[in-house]
Amino acid sequence: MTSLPVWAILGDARRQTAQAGRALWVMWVAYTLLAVVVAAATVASMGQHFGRSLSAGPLSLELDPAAVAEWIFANRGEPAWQLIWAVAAGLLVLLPVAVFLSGGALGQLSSRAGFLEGGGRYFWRFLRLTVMAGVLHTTALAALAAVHRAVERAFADSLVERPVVLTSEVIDGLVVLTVWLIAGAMDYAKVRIVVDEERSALSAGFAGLWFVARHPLRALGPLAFVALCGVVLFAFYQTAYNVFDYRGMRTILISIAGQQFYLGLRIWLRLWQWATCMRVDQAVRRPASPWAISEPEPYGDNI
Amino acid sequence: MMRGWVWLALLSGCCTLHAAPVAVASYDMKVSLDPDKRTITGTATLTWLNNSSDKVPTLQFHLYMNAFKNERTTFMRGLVDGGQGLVRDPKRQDWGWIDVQRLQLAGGEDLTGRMRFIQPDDRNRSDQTVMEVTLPAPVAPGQTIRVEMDFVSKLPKIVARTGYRGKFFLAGQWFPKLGVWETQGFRQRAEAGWNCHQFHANSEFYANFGDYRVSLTLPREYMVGATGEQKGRTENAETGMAEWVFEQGMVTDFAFTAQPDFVRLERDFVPERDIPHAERTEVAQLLGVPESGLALPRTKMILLIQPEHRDQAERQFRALKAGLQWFGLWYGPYPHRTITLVDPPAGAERAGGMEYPTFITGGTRWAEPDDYFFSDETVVHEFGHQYFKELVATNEFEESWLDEGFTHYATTKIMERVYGPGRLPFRVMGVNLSKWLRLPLLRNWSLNRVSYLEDPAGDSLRRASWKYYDSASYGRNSYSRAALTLRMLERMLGEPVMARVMRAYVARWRFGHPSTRDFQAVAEEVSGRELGWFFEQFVDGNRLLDYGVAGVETRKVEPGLGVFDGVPGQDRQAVTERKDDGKPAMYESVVSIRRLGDGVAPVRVTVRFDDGHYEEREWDGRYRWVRFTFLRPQKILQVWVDRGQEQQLDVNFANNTWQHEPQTKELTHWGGTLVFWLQNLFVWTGALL
Repeated sequence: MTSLPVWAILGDARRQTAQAGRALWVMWVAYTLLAVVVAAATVASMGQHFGRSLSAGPLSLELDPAAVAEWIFANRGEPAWQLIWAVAAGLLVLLPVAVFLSGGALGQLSSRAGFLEGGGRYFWRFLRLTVMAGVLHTTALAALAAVHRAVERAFADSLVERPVVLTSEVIDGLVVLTVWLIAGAMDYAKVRIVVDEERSALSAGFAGLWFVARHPLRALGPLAFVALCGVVLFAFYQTAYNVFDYRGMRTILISIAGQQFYLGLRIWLRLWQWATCMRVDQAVRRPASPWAISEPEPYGDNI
Repeated sequence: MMRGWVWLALLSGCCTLHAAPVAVASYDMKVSLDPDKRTITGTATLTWLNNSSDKVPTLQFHLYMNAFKNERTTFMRGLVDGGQGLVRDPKRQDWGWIDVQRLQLAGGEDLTGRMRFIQPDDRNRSDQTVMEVTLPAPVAPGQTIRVEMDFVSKLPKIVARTGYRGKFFLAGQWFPKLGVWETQGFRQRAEAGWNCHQFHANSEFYANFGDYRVSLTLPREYMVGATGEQKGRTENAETGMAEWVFEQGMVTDFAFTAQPDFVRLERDFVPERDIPHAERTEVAQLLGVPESGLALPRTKMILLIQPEHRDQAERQFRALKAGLQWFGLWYGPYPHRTITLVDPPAGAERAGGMEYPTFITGGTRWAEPDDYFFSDETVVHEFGHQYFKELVATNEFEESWLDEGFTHYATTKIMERVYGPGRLPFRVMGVNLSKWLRLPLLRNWSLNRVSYLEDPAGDSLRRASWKYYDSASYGRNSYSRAALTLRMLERMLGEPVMARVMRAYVARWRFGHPSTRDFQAVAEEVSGRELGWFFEQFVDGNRLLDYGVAGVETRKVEPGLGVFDGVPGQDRQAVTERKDDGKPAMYESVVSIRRLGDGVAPVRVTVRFDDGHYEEREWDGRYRWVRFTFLRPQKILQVWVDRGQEQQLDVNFANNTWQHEPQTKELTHWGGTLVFWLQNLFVWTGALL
């Protein structure tokens, strides 16, 4: 296998991502529409409750839990339930939407299909892969929860707090790491389905897990860099958000624009991660493959 | 309004209706703790003075420890129905109990055979938390009897407040404790009798004042803290045991703790050094008393802290000092020489957050962030109980709001003043990110409202603790709603008057057992106002308070069309056209205010016009609505109902205000933020799928 420097892989993947601008826009529109629909009833209720109230101003500068509690009580709990059910429904709708979007994005990144065609072509395999991911996440989290309980039992009569806290934090870290590893392995599985036209989602899923297990540094190193970029991006966003004073409409509109720009970058990072997976997969498994994507063919306007 | 000289007289106690405090139920105990068996074995000699005018034929004792004997006790059954405390795994629970093996009048008859369990509250035959003993002869008024008791108390694994965990022991309510004989009329009682309730999941305690002397023997490696002052400690090298002796006069209870590796630290509270002069002056002005009237004594503070929390010690002392200072300045001197604060170890948190005379349990956490004040507030709150109910010894069974609510009210004021708002900790790899992530500030009064608004009118404040709808209702009404009710009273009367009410109440009822009616009487006396309507609705009752601006309509006043009679001597005129008469436009504005709840309180309505002019109107708040009409050249810009937020129990402050322009800016901000959070949720979730 060819050993490519990590930065070369990331650089190639970045250039590849630049070709998938349409995928980025479609994903942003889809997530925004879903969020707006979910939020609509809640915002309408807030408008009715606070619409002409002088308490809205201070509440805008600092969240007062009592004001939220008043709003919920005034509507006899409806706003809370409205939002909970709306979010739950949104997450249910998100499942097929996210599957379609990822199929379309990977199809476009690989130049194997346009966005819409890719979303349709890979939909059912990606959906089965999602179910597999759900089972893996649940199993892994259940195992870690059992470890947590075992730790609690081990310290059942302890009078000292520090080792329990530190152990719990390590376990929490393992949870985050496990979720990240499984998500990464599933990304490689998606690459198999798209690039190798693998028909079996189950085979692709296990292949992705095996790939990560066999080549942990090569498979996860670049992804860790992308994840780090995500953390840095969030740090920049939060720091910038803290600087603003949200008293004027202009500041509020600028902050909304800034938030959407941040979101666009988050989606771009997602695309970059998929492109990186494709590059790593190629470098490790098919270094001399005819599908050596250095500059993907532009696919034109057919999304 | 109370005249100054009457107020001073109240404070000096010369007008007090009550005699000097008397030790009614005193205990001399010699006991030993067996850490392996988790038992306390020993003898208690009770000296009881019948200070009533009744002949008392029986004695009734609390045997609180029997609440933890099995799953069928009233306490344990209350946990199922929603009480506080928790038995996580009944099969693994190490139960607790108390056996009185001998009960005898000193130098007299053995009464062991006359003991029987009774259940005055719920007739649950499985409950053995109240024991009655029939005396051979009634105790005459003014007579003192001495009763000797041999008993064994088995401590449970910590369930609620008391028990053990490993080598940590917290013994609370561990000995047979006499109930309170109440004569007819005492606390509005219909007929004389024992006040000795069963131990319920949501109840606490009630006892007479007395003098305590306790000798405790246990292995010498244990460090001990207890109620009162340590009078001695002797070691026996042969047996490896140590005897600790503690004494305290005029208290209602005795608790102790023991653990080999407590770190024991002492500090002194020195008022002349620790209280800034400006703060003393401020309180003196608030109360209208000379500064010399606010002299406070020195107090020894003893802290028993876990070794791994050693770096939190100064923080714990700071909280204790805040309690000593502010409770002392506001309500009078702390009456004892020592205060012991215990930090329970990990896994024994249920022993924390509790009060006993001169002895409180708090509890801090390892690496607790500097801007999260839960443990500090716990210390201030538990110290506050030294006033409400260790000094003003109300009946926690029947009127829990009088101790929890009063303490919580004062604690919230201290926390606001001394600490300010805190934040929930959010740690990643040991770094607290809550400030950077702009997590909401935890303002204490705001949190009280959140609790209150969960169910603002589900129960009354004044209610037997086991008769609340559930544990959450007990907590809400005893703590947060009670504190808000007192804050509402403070806003209505004004802070200086309320401060004088509270100080007079404590001064009059030190070492006494007041009821709600007694507090109401003091409040009316000091304020000079009739407050029956307030107590009836918001303490005895459960009225929902909600006033709101229903609407504001403004129309330009136009010359009228139609037929108008002229002045006498002139013809009738017909006006068919509106003509500009050159005068400035006038506007008629109608403000509608509604009473949306069933609580009634007088309200003040404030109106601001667009030229900056203000007008106010008073409304008695009785009918369901009222309208105020204004005729001015300006339009109304803003309206407030109860602008000063006197009505702290109003369930909706948002509808108390109205402004002409809709809050488009704020709604845009919230809408944009909510959509953004949801977008992020979907992106993150999609990444996992």
